[in-house]
Amino acid sequence: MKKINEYLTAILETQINRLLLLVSVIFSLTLSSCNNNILDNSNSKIEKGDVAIEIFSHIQSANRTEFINKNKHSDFISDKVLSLVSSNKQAMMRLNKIGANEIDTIVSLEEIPIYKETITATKIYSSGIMESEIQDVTPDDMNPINSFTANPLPIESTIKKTIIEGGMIKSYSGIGELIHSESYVGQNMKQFLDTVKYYVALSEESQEKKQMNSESQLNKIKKQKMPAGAKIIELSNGNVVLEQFIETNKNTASFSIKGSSERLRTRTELNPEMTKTIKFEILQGEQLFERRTYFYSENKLLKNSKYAVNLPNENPEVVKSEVLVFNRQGVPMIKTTQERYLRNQMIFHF
Amino acid sequence: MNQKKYMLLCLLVLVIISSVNGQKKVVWLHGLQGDQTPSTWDMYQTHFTSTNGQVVKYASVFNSVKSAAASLTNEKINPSNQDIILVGHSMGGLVSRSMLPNNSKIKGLISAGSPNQGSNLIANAINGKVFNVFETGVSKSSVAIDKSLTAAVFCAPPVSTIAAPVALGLNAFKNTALVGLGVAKSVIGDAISVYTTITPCTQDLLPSSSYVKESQSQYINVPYLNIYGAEDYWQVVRIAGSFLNMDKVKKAENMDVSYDESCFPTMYSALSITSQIQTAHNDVYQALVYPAIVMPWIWATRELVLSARYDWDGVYRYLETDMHNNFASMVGANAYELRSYCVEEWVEDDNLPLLERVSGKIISPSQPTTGHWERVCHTSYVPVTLEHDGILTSKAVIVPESKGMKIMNVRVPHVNHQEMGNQIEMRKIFEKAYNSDQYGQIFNLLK
Repeated sequence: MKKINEYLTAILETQINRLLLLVSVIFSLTLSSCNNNILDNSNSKIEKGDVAIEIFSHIQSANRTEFINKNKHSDFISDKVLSLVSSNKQAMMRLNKIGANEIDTIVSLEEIPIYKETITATKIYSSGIMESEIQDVTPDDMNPINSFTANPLPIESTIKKTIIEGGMIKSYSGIGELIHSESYVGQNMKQFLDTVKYYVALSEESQEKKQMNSESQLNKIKKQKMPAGAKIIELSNGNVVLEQFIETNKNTASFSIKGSSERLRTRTELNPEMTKTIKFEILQGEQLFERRTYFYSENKLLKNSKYAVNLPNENPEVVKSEVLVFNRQGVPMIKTTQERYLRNQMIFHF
Repeated sequence: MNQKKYMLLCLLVLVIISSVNGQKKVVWLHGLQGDQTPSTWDMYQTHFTSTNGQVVKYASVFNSVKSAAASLTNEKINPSNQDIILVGHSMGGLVSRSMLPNNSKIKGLISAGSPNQGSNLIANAINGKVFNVFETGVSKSSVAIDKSLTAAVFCAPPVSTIAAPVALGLNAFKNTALVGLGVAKSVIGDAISVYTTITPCTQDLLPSSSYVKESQSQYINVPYLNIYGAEDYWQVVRIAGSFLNMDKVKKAENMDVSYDESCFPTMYSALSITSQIQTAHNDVYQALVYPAIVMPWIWATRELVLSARYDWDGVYRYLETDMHNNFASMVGANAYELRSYCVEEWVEDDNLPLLERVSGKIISPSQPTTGHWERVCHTSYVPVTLEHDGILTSKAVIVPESKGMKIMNVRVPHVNHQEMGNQIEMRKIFEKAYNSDQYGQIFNLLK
């Protein structure tokens, strides 16, 4: 018996170890080759300096993963997708479903949207020290999924606030009690800060130059060296589409249909000034994998402080995203995320 | 010794002998794998003399329930031929029931967490599905990590330096959640490894087995106290905590210590770090707008950062909610119920197709968008999670109270399957069962 136990444990450990090894290798390569400056962020001993950047967000979101439906997801349906759908009875039933009012059966709880409202604030000091606070402000009764279980997670065991500060990550429950605390190896954000500063200055300069000389951003971009295989397309409404290939890790590639060897490409539609995204897509050949659409508003809390006056840069108010994913049985499904930003902005103090 | 003293001593001996003979002996039967040494149940023997209680061992793994019962003859478990009460944990409860027809000395049964209706977890361990619960978590995390790495194209500045907070979070996640999922899978896998092999015993414990079907019609002719555990939320985390600390659980000095929350810090750590990763992605997404304005090829990278964040949203959801419901379904603790429920969906104020709205034909991108969250209601059959002890559902343990049988099903909250039998609450129940009339007729009869 003991031998059986040891054998099975060994098999399981091997599987886990393989995965962990793979992830570790990726991370070691990533981190070492990038020469990121990881420090033990026992930052209390270091002078923080003044706040250089503050990043705020207030997001309401709902996400779910649903079966493909001809009416809602027609752009994702190719012959290959259709053949995979047809291999699953439940998926087939949903394919032609019309109307939301029909009584149906939820196969997986992932089909039920979870609503979440989060407020975050990140501060980066001139020394590179970062602090952040993440609050889950979702009203308690918003998610019916919590009532579908005999023993839901009680408010006193649910993480409602996470603070990263002074080399520690601390989590607080819905009744404000500290429920978890651990040291958090912080990263000095000086390089981040310097890089952002540099590009803020550069983009301001480029905007000023753009205003001074009449050459469009598009023409300037066309003169730049483009990545291999990249394309720029100007639409009739003035919007600009950038197409380029993306590289994925072949061992862990999360996109793509089995057997397809075509490279993944992105299609990013920007406004004519090329300062914000209108639409974003990921495709493999003609197969659509991901589509995201953006809506903007005049909300001042969606504009970064460096662009508060005349420049058009702003963050979106609403983002709708649909992604083709495959469940464990290989059945294609659509992961939908809807987000509304009540606040999303960077405030610069330089 | 004078005659008077001699007579008095004889009388005392007679009184002791008659009281011992009148006392029921408690015989404790362990569950599956409980015959391995050391066993949680070994500690019980220290509480008994040979006449008032005994922990007996039987070969559990490669025996059918009936053959295990047959091996426990009255001569073996009850050499003093007293009336006995059998107390069985998990499989031990089934063995007790099977001993009943062949031993007239059995005057009562107490079982804790016994799969009277069979165990779905064994069925899902044999078919390997139970491990999917953890593999799905690992797979979702791996996809999210992959997307983050794809997005960040870390080695190409300026993205590499701006994406630093994401890299930091990913590294921390690797050390907590991913290791935690691996440990949970390994610990649960180790604990239920015996289930993954088809043996006479595991065959008997399947819900569809002939043994389970036959036992449904068994007439239990002695008072029967049937205890089932009702664990709180995050049962898989609790059972993993108990399994992980089995070496401590088995020590007598830790008899009343609960280890079921020992894995909670790992869950909290994983969730906190996932929150940090989500925030870091948003921070990086915002910051990348500046290099993107200067180098437009970075727009796509920026979008991939947002794609990765959505995957991390999915990881958070899985760790907090879906994983626990998925594990419950492996235990068999799920049922479909017709429910009406309402969820929030973002609805644009006009009903124009989304693509037309963003194509620039209907509204220009800089025009304000109006919309609102709307509570959209549905009525569907939804999978609901029922009560369980981390290994068995309450339903799998409960024995219907048929006519003429003296059965009492008792629910004990906050106790997982593994803790049953050695935790203070359970001992209180046993003690009450044996020493008091708190639970009425059943316990009076057991006394």
